[in-house]
Amino acid sequence: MTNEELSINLEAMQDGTSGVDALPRDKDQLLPALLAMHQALDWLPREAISYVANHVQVPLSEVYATTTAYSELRLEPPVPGQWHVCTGIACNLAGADKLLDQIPNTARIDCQFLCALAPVICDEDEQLFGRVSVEEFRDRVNS
Amino acid sequence: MKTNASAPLARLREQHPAPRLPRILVHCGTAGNAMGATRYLEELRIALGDRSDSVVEAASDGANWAAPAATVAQGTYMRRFERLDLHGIDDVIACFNGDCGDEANYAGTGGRGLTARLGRNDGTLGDVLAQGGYSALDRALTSTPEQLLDAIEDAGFTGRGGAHFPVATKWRLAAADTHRPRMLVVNAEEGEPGVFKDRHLLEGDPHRLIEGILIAHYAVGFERAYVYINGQARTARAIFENALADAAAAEIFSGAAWNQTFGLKIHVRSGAGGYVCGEESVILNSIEGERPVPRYKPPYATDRGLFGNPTIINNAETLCAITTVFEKPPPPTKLVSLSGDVPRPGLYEIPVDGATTWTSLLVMAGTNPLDVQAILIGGPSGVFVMAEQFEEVLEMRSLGAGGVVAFGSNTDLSQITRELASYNMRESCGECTPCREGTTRMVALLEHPAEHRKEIANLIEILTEGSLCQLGGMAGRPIQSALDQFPTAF
Ligand SMILES: Cc1cc2nc3c(=O)[nH]c(=O)nc-3n(C[C@H](O)[C@H](O)[C@H](O)COP(=O)(O)O)c2cc1C
Ligand code: SF4
Ligand code: FES
Repeated sequence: MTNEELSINLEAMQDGTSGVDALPRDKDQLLPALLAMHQALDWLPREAISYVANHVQVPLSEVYATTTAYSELRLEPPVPGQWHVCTGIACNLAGADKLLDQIPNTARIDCQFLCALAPVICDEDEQLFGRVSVEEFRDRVNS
Repeated sequence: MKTNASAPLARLREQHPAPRLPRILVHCGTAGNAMGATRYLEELRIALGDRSDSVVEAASDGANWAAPAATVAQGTYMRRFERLDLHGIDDVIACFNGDCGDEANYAGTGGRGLTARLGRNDGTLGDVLAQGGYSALDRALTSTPEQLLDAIEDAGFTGRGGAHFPVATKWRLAAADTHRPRMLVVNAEEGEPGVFKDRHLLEGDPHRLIEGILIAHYAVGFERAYVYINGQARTARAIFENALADAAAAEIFSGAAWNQTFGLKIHVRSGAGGYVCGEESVILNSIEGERPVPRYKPPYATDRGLFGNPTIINNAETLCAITTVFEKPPPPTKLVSLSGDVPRPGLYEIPVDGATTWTSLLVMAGTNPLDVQAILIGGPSGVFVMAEQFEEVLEMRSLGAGGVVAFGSNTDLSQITRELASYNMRESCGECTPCREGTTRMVALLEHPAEHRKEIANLIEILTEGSLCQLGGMAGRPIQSALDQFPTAF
């Protein structure tokens, strides 16, 4: 990891901790605290989880059990530049496989709840795009 | 709907005047933005120059197939312009200037039901009040809580989250327990693949949900309400919180606008994904900071729910639907999230009036029903309805949460069945053995179903009867349905 990346992470970590510090130190704030961290960092490194555990006064093992149970909480950093293609039923019907095949560095994701705009893709910032063709997808990735 | 407003409601309308017409509502929101709607918002504003205030951002009106779209409102006349990406904005501007053409093209069915204001307001309180907002609450406040419960019971309202439990029955269970603080949990987790109605409601008419919450509060008397919103639905949450702030500032939420003290505290929470996280007892655990797994029942939530208190959990659509209780006759409608092989996929509010059939729904969506071999209702917990059954009359119960996917003649339904089984396996939370082991085993058996008919039947029974929650409990439904309807496909 370069110094620059490290410093961005530290800054994000600071955002995360101040988000957590703003919440009451009660157990029912566990998920809001995890989400505050996740929003700042895009994922939950070990330090972030320990910080949350300490803040809401819940044992670390339990915080891990909770964290791993929510599908949207990432325990690894997102892959840079990776786009997601919805492979829910409607998007599959609309040709999600073709998008996955033809665009590099794409991953599958479950239903994004825009099924009426299938096929749906999602960029790094979780912005959704609907009714996407291979050509449009390629343009977006390259722009 | 503006008639018979009480003095307090009339005062609210005075303080928050209706917007000026004509105007152009550009349908943005999550659905519109995914189709680039904001670009047309900008283009229209530039084109209208010093009249650019008349171009306002509105949410999706549910017609996702028409996105990107804009609606011109001229007095009571509204016309929606569809697929601006194909047709451009010239006709929109012409209509705004008075030349709308004579094509009958009104936005939606108009005026009634719980989607009446969807995408047809700019989010300001004045706009919502002018379109009938808070008039159901106003009316409710003139009756006693008991009379209100009777009205809800007489209208036959059932929960819209999937299980269709009678609303009045549930509310009465908590209303009776006056010694303990009562809790309301609004389930807007909406994690069932294929369903997108609650997001539309929250983005397109958040004041309707607030009104529904206040009506429930008046009937039952809650200490606190928690609105639990899907973690990915950030736009929905932001719009809802803005509306909440407006309702508070206007003294609607406190009741002061009606010289009352409602005394309800409200909290907004976000979820973090997983199909099972929409199950009611999982939400209770999630709010309390426990692991998001289902609870054993009994005790039921109405007895020992959130933080041990009597708790009502209702779907967001349920509470929105309650605001139509005084419309005459009360329209028994259900929101349907329609996707798949139809020309006009989107959100539909359909009458469940003993006349609507699957065919009517498909025709509404622009399809020749002959082009559809089957539909799936209820996603991974659902059933297939085959073409021969399309003439069946729709019932509330058969609609589940309202997720419907249509399959054209080329779809391999056995493949869809396998996808559903594998989805349930991935989403099983692992808390109970029948579902944790059973959903995995099911995926394996479905590789060669013909050789394992008996074992599959057996496994469906175990899942149905032995699972702790209805994720496992209903995981066998689509499989059973597939085996009944198209056994030769495997
Ligand atoms: C696996 C599973 C997922 C569910 N997901 C949702 C959901 O996303 N939204 C919802 O309102 N109800 C969902 N439910 C149903 C709730 O448990 C509960 O019945 C409902 O919120 C009650 O509200 P209602 O009576 O207003 O329908 C789910 C149930 C199960 C078993
Ligand atoms: S049925 Fe499945 S999802 Fe429900 S508690 Fe059991 S393992 Fe978890
Ligand atoms: S199936 Fe892709 S958004 Fe629902």
